[in-house]
Amino acid sequence: MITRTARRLTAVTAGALAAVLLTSCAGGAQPEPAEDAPAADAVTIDDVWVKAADEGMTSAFGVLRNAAEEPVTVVEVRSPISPMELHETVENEAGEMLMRETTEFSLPAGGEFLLEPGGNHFMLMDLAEPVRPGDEVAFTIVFDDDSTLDFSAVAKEYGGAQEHYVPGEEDEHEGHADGAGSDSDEQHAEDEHDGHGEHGEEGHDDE
Amino acid sequence: MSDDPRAAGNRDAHTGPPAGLRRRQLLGGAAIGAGILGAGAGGFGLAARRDGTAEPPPEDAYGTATVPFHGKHQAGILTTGQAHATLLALDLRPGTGRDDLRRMMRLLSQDAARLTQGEVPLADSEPELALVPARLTVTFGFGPGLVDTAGQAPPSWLAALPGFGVDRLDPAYCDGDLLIEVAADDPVTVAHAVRMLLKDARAFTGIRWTQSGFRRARGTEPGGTTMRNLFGQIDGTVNPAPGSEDFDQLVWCREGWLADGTSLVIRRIHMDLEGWDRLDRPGREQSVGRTLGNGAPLTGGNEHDEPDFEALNAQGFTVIPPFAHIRRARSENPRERIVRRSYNYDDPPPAGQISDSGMIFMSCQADVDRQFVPIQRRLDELDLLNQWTTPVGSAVFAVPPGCGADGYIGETLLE
Repeated sequence: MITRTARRLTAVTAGALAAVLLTSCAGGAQPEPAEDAPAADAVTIDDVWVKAADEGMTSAFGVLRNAAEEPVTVVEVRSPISPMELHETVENEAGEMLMRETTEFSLPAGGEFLLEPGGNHFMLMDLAEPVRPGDEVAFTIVFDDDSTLDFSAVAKEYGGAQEHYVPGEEDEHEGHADGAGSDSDEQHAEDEHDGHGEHGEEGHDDE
Repeated sequence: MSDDPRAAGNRDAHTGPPAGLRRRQLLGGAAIGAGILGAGAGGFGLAARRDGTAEPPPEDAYGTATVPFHGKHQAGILTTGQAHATLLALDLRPGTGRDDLRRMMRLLSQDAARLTQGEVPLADSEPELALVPARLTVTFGFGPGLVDTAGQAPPSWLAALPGFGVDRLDPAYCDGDLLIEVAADDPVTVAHAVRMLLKDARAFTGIRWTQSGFRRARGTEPGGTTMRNLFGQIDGTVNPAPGSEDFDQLVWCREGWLADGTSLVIRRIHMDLEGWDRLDRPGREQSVGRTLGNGAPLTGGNEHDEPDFEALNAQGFTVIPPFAHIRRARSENPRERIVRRSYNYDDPPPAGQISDSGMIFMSCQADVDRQFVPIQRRLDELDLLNQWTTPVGSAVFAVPPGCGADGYIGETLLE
């Protein structure tokens, strides 16, 4: 179901990699000797799934685990079926949870990084083909040392994760219902009737 | 997953619940962790104290008990009947093809595998409800339409049963392309599993019918007690022991994509509780040929003793009357036997009445035509119980074999 391969995309020089590791260890109590291990080797992703959608946008979720003693940084995620972005959900001054693009996910040393509806996620911006329930969608995570982690995620119908997002509108984009159903989310939900999240249910409402 | 106490008895379980939930689960489960290590396949391992006495099982021991999902046979056939069961009969949407079936059965199998182990399935929006497996089993059956869609010729017995004189069938409880039987010792567990599985199946199917049934709650009587139906009768006495050679011979198919699978006959049988009320105890016992007290044959002994069909009373009539259910159900041919697995139902009564009750009769057999049909023919011709029982629903499904951790139910048909 899920295949994981860690490999280095390009021949990263040992010196460049060591510099990254040393930088990230600078604040640590006990600097580790620089190792030539790609970031991808330390990372696994489990419980991955993608929300089924006929077209437009959708999102992928899972649990990233970093076994390394230093944080590692995800800088990109790719899929053959859609351009993708890293999205985070943050609280604004009014207490609303807003979704926005981010340039990186930092996976804490020896810790987990959750991708979940209403939280951080991998966003598929424009599907080239429908993602049907039960499909396996291929993804590649790229780390800041250019190492990569391939995985595939099964598609499931899901009523939540109604993210609506218009790239380039402004820095902070519209939020989305996060399942907790806070008032601020409901306010955003009004804007989402034409959102991609509706598409997954099309054709199934006749029962 | 070695840090997860629930995984201890289920090594074949694969990935665990999302990390956030697993943490909560661990915090909540810290006190019970030690006691759960021995729980598996529905049993308890009692930890020995230093003084030699056994630790009592933890209070939620029935909730944490699991039945393995993966294996040679599907779960739910060998499993001792749980307290609650819901049957879902689904019809494939027009245009559904073999590839769709593959995607659907993978999704359903993945979710069933996790739910039955008390692990949160992917995309579960009520994850906390998934943490009490309560011996949950999910069993899939294929109707003739699904097998046809898969491009295979259905076995000769995979079709509507021949009509019987006693039948008063309502199409609302008949047939279907895909059966999902969800059974557990807890009704909330059943409801949540049903919800998750229907969400998986929704893109491919619509609901044809659902039925829910029950037995006594777990722990309310000794394990292994034969169930009673709502007539008060002990029901299922002659079932062979699961795992015995007799059981294996009667139940498992041998060939093709159904090897290590079986067939499931589901008959919704309405029971006329008002009419039954007018029958006194001796009449009730004569109609079946067993005592109501302990289920022993009227010729004496205990529940599991053989009836003496030749024994005569003082008037020279057989003690077990010619019309008695157990005489009519019995065949000279030992191959003409089935394994019963039934549930009671007790639905809201129609206006002006006080009962709409009965039994969801289920039987497993390797060949419906050779095993079930001859028995039902004899009962149709003569069985005093027919006076108070009416079949109102009927369906036959092929139950494919089990699958491994990397496989899915139906792969022997669809790959």
